[in-house]
Amino acid sequence: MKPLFSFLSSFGLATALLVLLLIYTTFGTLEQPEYGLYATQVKYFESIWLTSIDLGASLRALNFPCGDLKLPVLLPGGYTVMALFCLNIVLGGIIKIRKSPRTIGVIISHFSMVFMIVAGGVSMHSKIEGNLSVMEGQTDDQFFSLDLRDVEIEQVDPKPADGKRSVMVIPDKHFADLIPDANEGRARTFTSKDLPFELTLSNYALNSQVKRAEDPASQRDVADGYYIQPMPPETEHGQNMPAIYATVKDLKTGTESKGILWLRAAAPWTIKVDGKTYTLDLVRRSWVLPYEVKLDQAIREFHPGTQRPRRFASIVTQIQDSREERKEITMNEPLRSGGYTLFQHQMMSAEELQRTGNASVFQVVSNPSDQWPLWSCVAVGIGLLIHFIAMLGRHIGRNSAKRAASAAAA
Amino acid sequence: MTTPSKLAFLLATSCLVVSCDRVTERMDITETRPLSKHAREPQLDIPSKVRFYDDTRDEAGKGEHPLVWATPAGWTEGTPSQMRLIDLKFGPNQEGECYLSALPGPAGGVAANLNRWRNQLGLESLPEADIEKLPRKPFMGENAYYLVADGDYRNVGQEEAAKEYRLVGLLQEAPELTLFVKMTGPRALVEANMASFESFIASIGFRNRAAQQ
Repeated sequence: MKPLFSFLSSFGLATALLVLLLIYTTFGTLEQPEYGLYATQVKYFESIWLTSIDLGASLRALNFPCGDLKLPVLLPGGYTVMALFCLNIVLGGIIKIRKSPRTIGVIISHFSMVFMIVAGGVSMHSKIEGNLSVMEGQTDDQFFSLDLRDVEIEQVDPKPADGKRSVMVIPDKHFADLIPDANEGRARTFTSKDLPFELTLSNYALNSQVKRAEDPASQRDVADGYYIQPMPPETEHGQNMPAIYATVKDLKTGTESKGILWLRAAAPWTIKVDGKTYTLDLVRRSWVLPYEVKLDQAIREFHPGTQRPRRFASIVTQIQDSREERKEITMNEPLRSGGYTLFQHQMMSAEELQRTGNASVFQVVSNPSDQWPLWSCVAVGIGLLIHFIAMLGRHIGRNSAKRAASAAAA
Repeated sequence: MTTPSKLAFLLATSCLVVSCDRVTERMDITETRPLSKHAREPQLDIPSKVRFYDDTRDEAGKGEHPLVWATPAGWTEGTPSQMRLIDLKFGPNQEGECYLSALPGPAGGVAANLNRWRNQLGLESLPEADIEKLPRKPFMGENAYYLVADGDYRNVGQEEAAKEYRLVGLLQEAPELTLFVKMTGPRALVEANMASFESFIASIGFRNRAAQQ
């Protein structure tokens, strides 16, 4: 175990990991214009393994004309690198380091760096982020993710006895890998003791259109006369319109029915099984705030003669347990309440909406480690300041001693 | 095993465990989520054709469009969309347009919508009392508000207003739906096409009712 400890706490490992992070940051930045922020982030910084680098896209970003050129690699992904780097600092920079007044500043700095990496991990696993869109005069408390999608199953008839609606959720991490290859499709079956049917999801498309099958007898996967036509992914992940085939099998009778769930569909797919009615839908993941937000007024001000925004602000009423509080949200002053932060994100005019009132879009963020990077930076600063002052003191002390020794010799 | 080595092993294992999320070929649905009271009520039993915005038409012409109408001679028909259930154009350069749209519920109310049209022509909003004095015109079996107004027209997204335009609009409120017919174009062109407009609005009806008659 000693060699393992030595390896994990070594300067060599720290250097190698930092070089990898430099490489990932460089290629991640260069690939971003073609793949978009979300896809690049997932590939380079949230991955366990990195399996390819798109040199072609990177060269094109540097204005070198280049065709498709993908370099297959097998490297630890950004997540693994950060986890190893965190371990390396803990073992080498906190446990192994010589403890003395001389190293206290360095230890504080190392501890703060670990804290910052942990903050990143907490943010990645716990942060939720979405958009809340409200029209003037309306009240809402739901916000929707731009990037994450769920398949939702709701029993609509008979309705729940308490009148409170709820849905069963299959998150996209459980079906987004079901992309068929050229030879065969891919499927996964989902069950629940509360459902009289089992649901098989198959042949996912990240971005798609749903088209009428002119020849339903063709070999193509068809549901109710329609098929999923995969489309090239959009650069902005949130603009992709995914779709997936859904097959419902009645557990009593064994009868099957097949439909398509599409993010852009005008309505969910309705099924009737065992005398009950359910809706199945592919939707943006949503969350409910612990309070309601009523948009009283959306204020849009532009620089004269331009469409450049000078000030976007929203006058809102925060409603919680019949308690109402009037607040203003501006571009630089979000509303922080109940563990959620509401930032002024977009503003849409009545004209744009073809409606009679403006609408405001708030970006809602809930991140337990929201302020940790700030605290960490302050702590790193304090640690380095202590270290540099101590170094300066020792340097001045040594110089004074040298001068005193020189004077004595003279 | 020494304490630092144990710690190293524990941390490395933890990192691996945290990063794994097993996906198998059969899975239980374990997650449920309450819906907000503001969540939209689901529309049930909607056919695939409607769910997937399939506006392909059969050989009979209008397919399953919910409305029937007669396109006036010399006008051209565009592809219906969510915002424009009927989309027609006219004029030598197709600069005149006439479309029908529908919004759920009162859609903000009569006064606000008619004033929105007036504002697009650079005209002041009218008080509600004056809105109520506007003439009515028979439309789909009811009396719809009828607005004719002239001005410099700036539609949604347009930077510059088109000079000397005329807007002819019909607005009909229904309990679950508000219907709009809006014709715009250069004033002379719209004037010359008023007879076509009258015949067009007289021809519009619901497909189901037309089939029953």
